[in-house]
Amino acid sequence: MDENMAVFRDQAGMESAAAKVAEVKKKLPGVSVDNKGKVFNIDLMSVLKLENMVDCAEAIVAGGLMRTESRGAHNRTDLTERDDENWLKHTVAYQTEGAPRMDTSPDDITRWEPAERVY
Amino acid sequence: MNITIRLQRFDPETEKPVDIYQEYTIEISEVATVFDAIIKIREEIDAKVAMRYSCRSSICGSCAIKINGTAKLGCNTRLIEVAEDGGIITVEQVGNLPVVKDLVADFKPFWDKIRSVTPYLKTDGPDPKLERIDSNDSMSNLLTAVNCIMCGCCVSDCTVLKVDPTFAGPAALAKAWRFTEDPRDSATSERFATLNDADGGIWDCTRCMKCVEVCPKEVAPMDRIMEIREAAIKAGHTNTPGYRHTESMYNSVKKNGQLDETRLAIDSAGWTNIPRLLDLAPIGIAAMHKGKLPPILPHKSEDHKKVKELFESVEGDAE
Repeated sequence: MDENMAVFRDQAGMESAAAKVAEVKKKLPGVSVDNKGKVFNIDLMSVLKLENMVDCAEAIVAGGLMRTESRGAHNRTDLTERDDENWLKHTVAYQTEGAPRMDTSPDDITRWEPAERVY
Repeated sequence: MNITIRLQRFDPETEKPVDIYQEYTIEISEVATVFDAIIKIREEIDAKVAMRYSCRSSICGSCAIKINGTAKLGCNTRLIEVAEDGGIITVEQVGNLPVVKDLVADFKPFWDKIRSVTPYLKTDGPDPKLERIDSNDSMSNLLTAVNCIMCGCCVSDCTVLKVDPTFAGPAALAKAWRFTEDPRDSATSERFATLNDADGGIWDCTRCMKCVEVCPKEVAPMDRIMEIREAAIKAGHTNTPGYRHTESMYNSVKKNGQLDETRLAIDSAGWTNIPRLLDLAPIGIAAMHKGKLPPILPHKSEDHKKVKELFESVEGDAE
């Protein structure tokens, strides 16, 4: 995630991140908790966090791959232009049994008109 | 570097929970923190080690522990600051709070005391449309106490809390100061009245400076407590043993050049406070038996005139 899903991204990098996340997800059921204590069990907390991290990582990678433009902190080195015509909308990810189901929802533009960053 | 962490362990789930110390020797980078070392132990040697942490950058205030006997944040204390290569570092729970497990303390008493000082703005009159705005100066004055991250280092090492758990403690009193100093607050007088309480209030601080030393955010709780005392006296809240004690010490040193301990004890209690005076009697009798009863009538020191001059000169300068 640090290597391929930070601000600067490209297709190949995101695809390799997707493969890595899938690999980690596959291993997830095999994770065990050494500490069986019921009081302040950081070991158990870490495992629960790990599950949530994998869910988030999946959504981040799928959202990145879907958005074929550059916008803000999603800066694609292979698609540097911002594309308001197709992508002036939110990315929405739904959790499913398998891969997340991706969708979009319309932008609600109020006081601030979105503008391109020029610096 | 090579380091041995001597870790205080406490497992509430064993049959007879007791504090034990376990030593873990690890190889770790020189620039690592004590916190990094504990995490390494937890991840590589003993998954049962419990410690509270979150931000890892001294913002959240979760990881206060005792390092070689002094309360510090684990995340901003580098190993090389506290031990040499091959050395041993003792890591324990913070003091003055009950333990939950290993390095995790139960902060309920801490939060109860913070709550007891009404840690929010109390205002009169109708609410303004947006927000209550005051001058930048009056707000930056509050910064010392606002910087508090509630880590509990000051409470851990407070020498008064160690002997008197009813003391409000440095963290709660620094928080109280944040509101007595706020010009927008309209409950200042009530706050002074509560903080003046003979049991556990501002006058129970012994000015040992420990909280100032251990605070990682320079809140300097003791200085805040002294400022509340001063402000409370200025506002006329003088009917307390604490104030009488201060005044009696001032008067006796100014007059006699030395402390009149008998008078100090009676002045502090209050001349009409019969129950408190009766409390003092056994102490006086015990002192008498040991030959330690201070003289009933004050002695004047040889230099008492010089002391008086000194007082007048200092007070003249102040005016």
